[in-house]
Amino acid sequence: MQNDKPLPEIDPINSQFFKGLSEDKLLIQKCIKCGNTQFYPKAICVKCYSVDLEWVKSSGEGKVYSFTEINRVIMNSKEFEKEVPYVIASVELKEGIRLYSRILSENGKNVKIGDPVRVVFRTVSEEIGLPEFKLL
Amino acid sequence: MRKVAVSGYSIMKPSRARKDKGEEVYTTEQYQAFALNKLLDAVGISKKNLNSMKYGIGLNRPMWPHAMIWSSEVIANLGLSPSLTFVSDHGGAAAFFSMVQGYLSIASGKLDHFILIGADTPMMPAPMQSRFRPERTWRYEINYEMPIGMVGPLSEGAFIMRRHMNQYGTNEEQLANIAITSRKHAMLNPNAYLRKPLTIDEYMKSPVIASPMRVMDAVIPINGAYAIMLSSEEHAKKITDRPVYIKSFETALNTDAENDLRDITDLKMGAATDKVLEESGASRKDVDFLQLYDDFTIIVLMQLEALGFAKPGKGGHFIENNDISYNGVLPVNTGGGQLSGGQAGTAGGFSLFTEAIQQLRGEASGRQVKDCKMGLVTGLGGLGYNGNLLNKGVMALSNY
Ligand SMILES: [Zn+2]
Repeated sequence: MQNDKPLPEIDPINSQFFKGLSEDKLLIQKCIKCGNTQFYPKAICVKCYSVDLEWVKSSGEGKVYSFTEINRVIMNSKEFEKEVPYVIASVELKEGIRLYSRILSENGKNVKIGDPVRVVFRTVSEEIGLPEFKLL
Repeated sequence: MRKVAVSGYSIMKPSRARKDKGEEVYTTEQYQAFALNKLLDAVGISKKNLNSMKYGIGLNRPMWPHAMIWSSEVIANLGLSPSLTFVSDHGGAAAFFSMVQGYLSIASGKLDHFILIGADTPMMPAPMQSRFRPERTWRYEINYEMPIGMVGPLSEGAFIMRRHMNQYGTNEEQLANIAITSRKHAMLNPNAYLRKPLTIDEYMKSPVIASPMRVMDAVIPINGAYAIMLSSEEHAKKITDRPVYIKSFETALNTDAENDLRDITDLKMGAATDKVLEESGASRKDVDFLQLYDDFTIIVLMQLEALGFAKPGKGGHFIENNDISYNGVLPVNTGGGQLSGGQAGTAGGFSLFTEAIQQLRGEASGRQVKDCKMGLVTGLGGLGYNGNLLNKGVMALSNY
């Protein structure tokens, strides 16, 4: 549990994304009409404006588009201070979207742009999981 | 459309609310009142006269007191009866979009004047709006950034900075150059907050908060306020003999909207800049200075590229080879910007406009750009998810 850390605010748009993660699935939004994939979850397809979106399971594979190592916690829960320094990356998935995620710490220090990564899942509650990535 | 000019301005002294250092401790509401009062003094208009004019009031949405400040509440506090009010929610670009809204109201002939009051007090304690941060922030931050331990704009900016360094070889020395030049300018500006010299050594030793972002790559928060009065040309000439004209402007919001794989190092402001210059009857050679929105050093560098003053990816190279001091070939952020001047919350962008106005009125004393006639001011706000800046604008101001 991460009681002292902020949790996403579950709503009709994002509930399946976070629920999927709690069940070890990385679900991303795909437009049934035009095939566009998008992140973060939205109410419509930003490309063709269709509201017919489905959740498809991502391969969970991608590469590091950019990253940062957090050394000081500001504007967030002080609970994270116990974990500094930690690495957060913008991960580009094979499905053509990017999402921000923690890079697991065992080898996170050596991360470089372009490094291949694969998703792992951290379950926070029955309704909420968070994606994390590890370097391959 | 009528021509619109800046007829007056005021700047409040910046503060970090350090009572022990003799600094002022005012709330946003006090700053709004004092900045307006100072402006009215400067333009020689009494409050009674003001309320007989056709005018509007434009405000930024301040971070303090972590609650809604309604425009009608502010005018009630100030005892004003304008014809129109608005609050800009464009974050760092609030000043820019306020200038735009004021311009449109006057150019259309509907109003004769617009008073823009930019005030914010991020250093002022106030009740917390959420458990972990003073304010309830963007939805994407709450849902997709805070739960994984991101630290707000600094970490979003760090992604951009890392990517630019990786993609183009931009280095710390080049970014330090921007921070150091800003400090040199701040030392010549009595309205800037940080006025002690900054050396490359101090920059390199400044803590890395979210790598590669150092403390010295980011703004310093201050409490502060600014007021700008816009008027139709005819009215401005009655108020001042030094009107500063809004020649042209372009805005660009959520560029590359449909592309989830957008290049976050590209601000995409080139077409807007071309149009602004064309409408101003000017070329890049005619631009006497740039006041570039500077939340981070890398964003200044990227704007040199995006506005077409440096080639894509060559911003660092440009800074190495061209003096961006007030007396250099292309003066940038001549008042110290927000990096050294200080960022008054969501009103921070106002300092770039007041600096441009002071330059074009010939009131920039020790940092005056010689014989300057026109310059560009940018506004940027809202870092966005997997993006750079959502709200963007380029404006040409001139004294002719
Ligand atoms: Zn679609």
